[in-house]
Order: sequence, then C-alpha cells, then structure tokens
Amino acid sequence: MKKKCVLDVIELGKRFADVKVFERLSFNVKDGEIVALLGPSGCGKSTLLRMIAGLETIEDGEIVRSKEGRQSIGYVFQKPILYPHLDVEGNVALGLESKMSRKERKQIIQDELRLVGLGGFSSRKVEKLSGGEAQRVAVVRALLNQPSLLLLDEPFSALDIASRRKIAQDTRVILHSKNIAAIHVTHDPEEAETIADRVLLWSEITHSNE
Amino acid sequence: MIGVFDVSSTTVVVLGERGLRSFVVALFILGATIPFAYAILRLNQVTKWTALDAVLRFPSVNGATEALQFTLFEALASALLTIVIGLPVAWCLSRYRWRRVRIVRAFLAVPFVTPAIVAAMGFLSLIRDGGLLSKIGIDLRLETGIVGTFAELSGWNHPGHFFALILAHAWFNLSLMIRFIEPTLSTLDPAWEEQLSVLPSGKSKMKRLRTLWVPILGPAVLCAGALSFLFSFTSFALVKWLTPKNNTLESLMAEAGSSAGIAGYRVDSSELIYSVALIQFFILLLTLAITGSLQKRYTRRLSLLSEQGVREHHGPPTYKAKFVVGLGLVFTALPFLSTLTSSFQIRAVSERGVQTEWTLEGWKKAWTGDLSTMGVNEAMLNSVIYAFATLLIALPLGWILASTIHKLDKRGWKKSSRCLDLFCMLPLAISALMVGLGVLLGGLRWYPQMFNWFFLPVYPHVLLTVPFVVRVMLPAYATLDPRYTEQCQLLNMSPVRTWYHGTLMFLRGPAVVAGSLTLAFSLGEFGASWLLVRSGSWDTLSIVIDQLMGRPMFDPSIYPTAMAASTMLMLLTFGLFFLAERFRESSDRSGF
Amino acid sequence: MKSILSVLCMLLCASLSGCLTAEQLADIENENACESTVQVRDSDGTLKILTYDIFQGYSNELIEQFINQTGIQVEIIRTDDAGGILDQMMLTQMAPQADLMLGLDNTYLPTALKNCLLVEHNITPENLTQSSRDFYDGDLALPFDEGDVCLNYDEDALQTSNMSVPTSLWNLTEPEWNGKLAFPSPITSSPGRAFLVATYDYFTEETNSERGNMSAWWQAIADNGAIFTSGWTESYTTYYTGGYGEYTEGYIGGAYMTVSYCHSPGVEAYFAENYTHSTSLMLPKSSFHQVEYTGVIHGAAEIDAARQFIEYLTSPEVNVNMPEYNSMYSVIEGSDLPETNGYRYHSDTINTATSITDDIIEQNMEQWLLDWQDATQ
Repeated sequence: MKKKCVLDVIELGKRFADVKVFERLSFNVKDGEIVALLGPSGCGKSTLLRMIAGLETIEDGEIVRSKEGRQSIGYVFQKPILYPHLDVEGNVALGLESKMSRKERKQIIQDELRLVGLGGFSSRKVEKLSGGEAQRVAVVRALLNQPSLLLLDEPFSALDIASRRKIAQDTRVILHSKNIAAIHVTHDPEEAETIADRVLLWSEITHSNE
Repeated sequence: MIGVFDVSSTTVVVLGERGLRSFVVALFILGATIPFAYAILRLNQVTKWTALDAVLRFPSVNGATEALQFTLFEALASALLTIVIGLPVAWCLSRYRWRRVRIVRAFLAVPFVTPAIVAAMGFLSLIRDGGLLSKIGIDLRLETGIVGTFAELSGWNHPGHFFALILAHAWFNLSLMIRFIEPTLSTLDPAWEEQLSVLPSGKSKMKRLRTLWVPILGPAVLCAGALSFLFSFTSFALVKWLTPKNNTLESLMAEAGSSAGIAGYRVDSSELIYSVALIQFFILLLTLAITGSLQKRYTRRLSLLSEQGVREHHGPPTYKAKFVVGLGLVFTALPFLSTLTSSFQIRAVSERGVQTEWTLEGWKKAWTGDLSTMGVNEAMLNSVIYAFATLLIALPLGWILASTIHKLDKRGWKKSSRCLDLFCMLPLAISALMVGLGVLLGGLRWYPQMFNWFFLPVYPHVLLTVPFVVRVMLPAYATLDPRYTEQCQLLNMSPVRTWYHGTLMFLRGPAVVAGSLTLAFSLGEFGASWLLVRSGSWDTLSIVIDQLMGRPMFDPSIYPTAMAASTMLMLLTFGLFFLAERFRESSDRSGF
Repeated sequence: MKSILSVLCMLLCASLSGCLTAEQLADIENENACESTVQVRDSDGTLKILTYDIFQGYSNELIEQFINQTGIQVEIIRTDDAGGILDQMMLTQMAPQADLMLGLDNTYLPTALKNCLLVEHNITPENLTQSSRDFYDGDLALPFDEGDVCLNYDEDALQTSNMSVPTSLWNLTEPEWNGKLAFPSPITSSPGRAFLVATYDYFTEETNSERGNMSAWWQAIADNGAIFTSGWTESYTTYYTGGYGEYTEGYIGGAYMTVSYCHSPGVEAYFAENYTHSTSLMLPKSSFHQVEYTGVIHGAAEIDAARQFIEYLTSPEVNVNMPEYNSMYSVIEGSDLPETNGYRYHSDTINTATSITDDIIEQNMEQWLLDWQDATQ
C-alpha cells in the first residue's frame, strides 16, 4: 500500500539579506518514514528544519503538509532545550497538551521516560543530567503528544560516538513503534544510516549557494 | 492592535502586544519630557531667551564657568580614582574561591544606593577634626599637617576638600567597577591566560596585560568609568557638604531653583537655571551615548565557563588578595560605622571643654519626631510606600521598554533601538531639579489640587529609576536564548505560558535585581522631590535626614538624631540589596 | 514606533526653540496675586505655616501650647532660609499651599507687600516696641521678634594672631583679613541681606566712602578671599571660629568674623553655661535693625486659624519668651533678654542703627542685589 506523504517540500528557496542560502530544494517524507538529510556544516540544514517548523519565513517554493491526522510538529534542537526552573518531569510535562489529572500525567511521563532508559529520573534537576540524558528527555517531550512529524536538528552531535549510536538506535525504535515520521539532520553518515529509513544527500535535493 | 469595547457602558481598551508596547513607550517619552519641556518653556518666557541664547550666554551667567570647570575636573578625577581603587578589589574578588562571596559583593554594593546625604555625613565624621583620618595625620577638613603643606607648595586652594570629595565619589561608585568587571573575570576560561603564557606575545605580565587583559577588561573598565563620571558629575549633597566653597552645575542650580520660573521676580535665577540646565543636559547626553555604546561592547559573551569552575581553578585567595579585598571592605564600612557610632554620641560643651557622651536620645527623638520634622516611624512608612509604588510602576515600565529596545534591535531597526535606548536614559541627563521644577510649575499653573496627592513624589521616583531597570534588563534580554521561546511555541503552548517559561523564568533574577535597585533608589531619593516638598507634605526618610542636618546645630541632639535616621535608612537599604544578591547570576552583566 | 518617536522629537524641539504665542506669553506674565484671582486650596482644618528654621527644640513647646489651647492642628512647611519663604510665596502666589507666613524680615517684606502676597490679619496687639513698628506699621504683617544684625568676631583668634579690632570696614580689605571673613549671601539669607543694607547705609557717610562706595568695598572684600555662603547657618557654624560651630560636624573654620546678631554672643553664652569668645563689632552704621514678621498669606484656606496663631504669637505671655524660643528679642515693650548664663551680659547693644526705610529698600533692593552679585562674582 502506498504510504501518504506527511510532508512535501517543493522548490524551496531561502535567503538572508542578499545571501542565498539554498534554492529549489525538493523532497518529501512519507507517513511513519525516517528520513536523514546528510550535508556539510553550514549548508542550511537547520534553516530548512526551522522553515518546516514555521520558525523562518518562506520566500520561494512551498511546504505542503498532509491535512489528515495530527498536525503538530515536534522539534529537537541541537542543544537540549530543557528549562532549568523545572525538573525532568516538569520539562516533559510541557509537551502534554491535553488536560489530565496529576496522577495520570505522572504515570504517562514515567512510562515514556522508561522507554528511553530514564526510569526514575522524574524528579531529577536538569543541570544534573548528562548530554545524552538531556537529549533523551527532549526527545520524549517532543513525542509526547504524538506529532505527525518530528524534526531532529543534529541532536546527538555533542555526544561521543558510542552514545550517538546508542541513542540513534533507540530513537529509531521509538519512532517506528509510534509510527511517527521524522527528518533527522546530520553531517555524520554512520549516524544517518543507523537512524534513517532513507538517506538524502543535501547536494541531491538542492541547489545551494556556492 | 488596539481594540475598544463597550461593556455595559464602560469603555474597555484592549491592547495587543504591539499596542501595549507603543502605549508604554509613548507614556514614558511624554512622562519624561513634559516636565522638562514645560520648565524650559516657562524659563523661556520669563527670561525672553531662546534655547540657543541660553547656551551661548552660559559664560556670562554668574558662577557658571567656574562651576563647569570644577564639575568636569572633579567628575574626571572621581572616575579615575574609582578605577584605581576599584580595579584591584574587583580583580581579587573575581579570581579566587572566596567563602561567602555573595555577602561580600552585597556589602560592597551598598554604597551605590546609599543616600548621598547619609554618605556626606559619614565622610564628614571621618574627616572632621578629631576624626579617624585626622588622627593618622591626614587632615582633609582643616588642612593642617601634610595636606596643609601640600596646599602651600602647590598653591591649590583647599586640596583637602577636593580629595575628600573624590574619595567619597570613589566610595559611591566602587561597586560599579566590581559589578562590571566581576562577571567577565569570574567566568573567563583560564585556558585563555594559560594559552597566552606559553606564546611569545604573552610570556611576560606586561605582554599579557596588553594582549589579553586590556582588550577583555577594557570595555568593562571604561563602562564603569563612564558611569562613575556621570554620577559624579551630577553629585550635589556630597559637594555641598565636603567642598562647600565650590559649586558643581547641579549645586549651582539647586541654590537658584526655588526662585526660578517666576515672571518678573529673580529673573537672574531663571537665566541661571535655563543656561546651566541645558549645558548640563548636553554634556550628560553625550556621556550617556558613550556609556551606552561601551555597554553594548561589554555585554558580548566571552566565555561559557561556570563561575564556580573558574574560581575552583584559581583556588583560595592569596594573602595579597585577602589584603586588597579586606581594604575594600574596610573602605566601604568606615562611613557606615562612623554614622552608626555618631548616632549614639552627643556632645556636651562647657568651659571645661567638649565632652562626648553616649546616649539613646538621638534614636528616641528620631523615632518620635517633632512638629517641625516628621518622626522616623512615619517617614519610614512614607518611604516604603513610595518605594513599593515606584516599584509597581517602574519595574513593568522599564521591563517593557528594555524588551522593546531588544526587539527593535533584533528586527534590524538598529537606529530606532539605539534612539529609544538613549531616550530611556534621558531622565539621568535631565537635572532632577528640572523635573521637579516642571512638575511644580505645571501643577501650580493647571492643577494645584495635585499637591494634595499623597503619591505625587512617585512620579519623579519612577522617572529616575526606570533607566536603571532598563540598564539591568537589557543585557539580560541580550543573553536570552531565543530557542527556549521557540521550543515553547513548537510545543503549542499558549502565548502566556510561552512568555512564562521561555522568558520570565530566565529574567526573574535580573528582575529581582532591578526591583531591589528601584526600591533602594526610591528609598534614598531626594534631589528630584526637594522642590515639591516645599509645597506639600510628603516627608520621606531622606527628606527628614536633610531637614535635620539643615538645622542650626546648637541643639546637640540634632546630629545624633539625624545619624539615627540615617542608620535606619542604611539598614533598610542593605537588607534589600542582600536580597537582590541572592538572585543575581554570575553571568549578569548589568553592572549593578 | 518610529513615527511616535519622530512626532515627540518634534514636540520637544518646538518647546526648546521657544515658539509660543504672544497670548500665552501675556498669560504667564499676567499671573500675579494683585490682578488675578488666587486659587484657594480645600480646607482640611490644618494650619500650614510657611517658615524657615524657626521651630526646633525649645520652641516645639510654643506650637504644642497653641495646639492644646485651640485644638487646631499645625503643619510646618520648611524652607532653608527667609529668602526661601519669599521664593515659595512668589512661586505659589496663584495657588498657595500655606496659610501663614512666619519669618520674612524687613528686607524681604517690601517685595511681599508689593506683590500682594499677604492679606489683612485684623489683629491689634498692645504694647509692641516702637522699634518693631518703625519700619512697617500696616495691617498686612505683624512683627514677632527683632534684633540688630552686625558683625561678630572671635576675640581669642584676634588675640592669638595679633590682629587689631577693625575701626573701619575698610580694615577688612587688608591682607591680614585675607580668607578670614564669612558672609551669608544677601540673595538667600535675611541676616545677609540686612547686612547688605547696612553697608549701603555705612557708605553713605562721606568719611566711609572716601576710598570707594558699597560696590567697591564688596569687590575688595571678595578679592580679599571672603567666603560667601547661601545661609547664615553655613557661615556661622561651618566657617566662623567664634561660635558653637567648631563643635559640630562639617566645621571648617578659618573665618574670624561673620555676620550675625549683636546679641549672638549672649546666645552662645546662654547655651554654653556663660562661656563665649565671640563678641560684636561696634562700628557706627555697620548694623541694621532687623524685624521679623508674620502674616496671613493671600489665598490661605485657614484664615481664622492663621489669625489665631498671630494673636497667640504676639501675645505678651508668649512673645516675651522669644529670646529662648528663637534667640531674638521680644517685640513686647519692656521685655529684655534673660540674665541666665550671661545671656544679657554677653549681648551687645548697638548705639547707632541704620535708618533705611521700607520705601528705600523696596525701590533699591533689586539693584543692590545685582550690584552685589557683580561685585562679588
């Protein structure tokens, strides 16, 4: 059965002032598919993700999202954006949109944390977390409300090789189990291969500024 | 966006974010300029001078040129002395792992918010005949001994008074040096220094000074120096008491202030105020512009290291560092201790001579007051009410202004951002006297009932504290990571929750600092409301102290009474500042 | 945002450039209590007294007694000096905030009268001294104390420095007096202004004006390092070496002579258990008889209360205590300084006081002040 597209990027272009970042960029992502975008540093990968998330304006081309099903987008930044005034549970709870009792909320969060190997971390202060633990929390939070698409902006780049592999594998498992499509941006080919169903080279999908 | 709704015959105006910002900016601009503009207008009519005439005729105004020369000289000397005294203290405090560094910092910062008249009395009691300094042979008041010899040899008239003044200014502004330098030094990666020391251009201390420390600390030092210049330039109470034979521009205007703006009466006073106020305004505007651009350079991030890590690296303080910081603490404490001690002493004069006796009479009289002077209990209540009223207005006002400046800058409207930034500092450039004069003249002309408003003094308090709120919040906004707000938006949080988690939680520390500064400045403020005080009854603790000190001193209980009131104000200020220090982060680059 | 800023900048520039219509100009110039209606503030039952440092310490009981007798609450609005009282009255003449004026003397009173700042007090006290009524005897102000303003000098300092007591004001311009004189400014201080008037009178004598007139003398004094202060308190307590100032904070000293009252040495002795080294310089025509007045302010809200206070203050039972309350002579005929602690003994009485009238002061004071400013700055 042909899977529907959750995202279609068509001839997308972006410039900052007089500088053209990229132009005529096109690709798509299917429902439940994990796509890795592989490209060198500074080529515009983060800018692309920010445009998809609505954090940057679109000058040329268009981004088409499926109108069926869930509409929310999850985003995991390169640096774990965890709020220092909240503990792990508090940070994860920010990703919960629906109202529920405290007990229910607590239970859901604990279950999700267990999935990423952070069972028992609920009341830990975020400044006490390692880099890998912090990114796992960020991933859990982003997935909590079942987004239609998860955007990962080089989230594991600050970790050592072994940790990167492990977390990439775990993330792939979770995404597939929840049937959530994702775009994972990286400059590491091995990481791309580990996490993705399909790897796209930046040079193949765009005409960048040289 | 501005929406107007009629809800059961009550009109409700709903402002969107942009509408709110525009309203706040307009409110502040009008609030800051109207009193000044009205005072200028009035002086224009009374003197028949245009603003240009007033500027050009400055040299012909009695005492103006001498006052300008003295003001520039003492402000520059004060700024330099502040750097000379403050830099070593700041350096030593920043480098090492000190126990209770927060308490030390809080204590060193208290002079900055101490009422000037309290500081003046503290220094007077230090330098007087028989005071601590004269006991060690440095007679700055009567200028005997070394100081007298220096005066004779140099031909300088009253150098002792001048040194006392710049010393007092350095005492006041010491915390500026620490507040600007410490955040930079205490988080600077030690690897920078270590790396340089193994390179040819960093092998010697001199070379490292030139290559590393001057470029890194230079903007901070210059920024602190520029602000010291600004505050010393507008000094009044210290000048009045420590160098009574000299006038600064501010003290010159203060003398003429109560007779200005009246048609056909004392036109010379109006001419003086008009001319001097404009010259002072332009000089201060220039200083503020320079300070603003220096502060922008200074707030660039230099390091990602934690303060704790850097201090751990340098280890516990050396003996030299302890000595330097110890001297700084003693320097800070001396006027306070002197004031406290004086509040318990009363003089008894007879043919046998002068005796000093210990007494609680000063405290008793201060507490109850008399018909001429409000009791401290009542004055303190007034001060606290005004301070909190000022806080309720100045903090949100200044916060929104800082946020607006930041937003304008981020959107590329650099000139507008710069303009608004400078405008927010305008009340510091306008003489406090002019603000008071404008409010007074305007009120008398159009709405004398305002003299029955208990909260009228809050107006000049707000004008003078908003610039400090902006100066604290603006660097905090500059260090905000926008991704925290973006993350909230991506998590579909409401605008209110987004602001709460993405902005407020990161700015609550600086907000507490700004709030405490606002409270402290309002508590100690006097200059802006002294004109208004004559026409109403809004006695605050600062005004009570000034009234007491202005009395003829043949009643020996007056002085200890004033000192008791001063001590209470000091303790209140110190308490607020200690509270602020608990919330201040090491990365705070506001300078306060 | 930008447009708001531009409009406001334009407004500010317009105001600074002085663009006002002739109508607005006339509007401001015509604002005076003689020609326009004065706005009376709402009455709240509290008598507001505009004064300088009159009430402190001992004289709190004077006010307390009044409150106890009448039940009227009193609030003091303090200015720094007598000049401040007149300034405040002029500033608020169209909407006065006080009811009663206390402390303008006979050098400031003419200006207040000319500008219609006072109204009838309707009090006719008995037994006032002739000297307190010579200058002004109208119904707009009543005297409540008086004294002779003259120069005081430190006897001990002159002796120690081998200096002779001056026999002419011109002696004070000689090198041995360089930096040893302190004068309160006649612009802001009533004793300072009184002394200025005295110098005018002094130099009308031919023998005194051979070397120069009043302006020439003041210029010579300024060139000789004289210290000028804004108020009497500063010159007397900060600089004068003969008074109690040397025991107070802020004292600098250095001035062997200053302007005060001929009875000031008596006041010193009174507070210092019959000890003083200050005395008055008894030069003919170098002093001025000062009378201090009280009056109801034009536009007062509490006129009755103000009149009650005037009646109280000028009543013999209260006024005879002026030497203790305010360190000045009472205006009640037959009263004198107390003998306690050598108050009377150490007070000097002047033989020849100046004879300047209120008309002369009213016509010339502005010019004298300008001449003084030009001469001393």
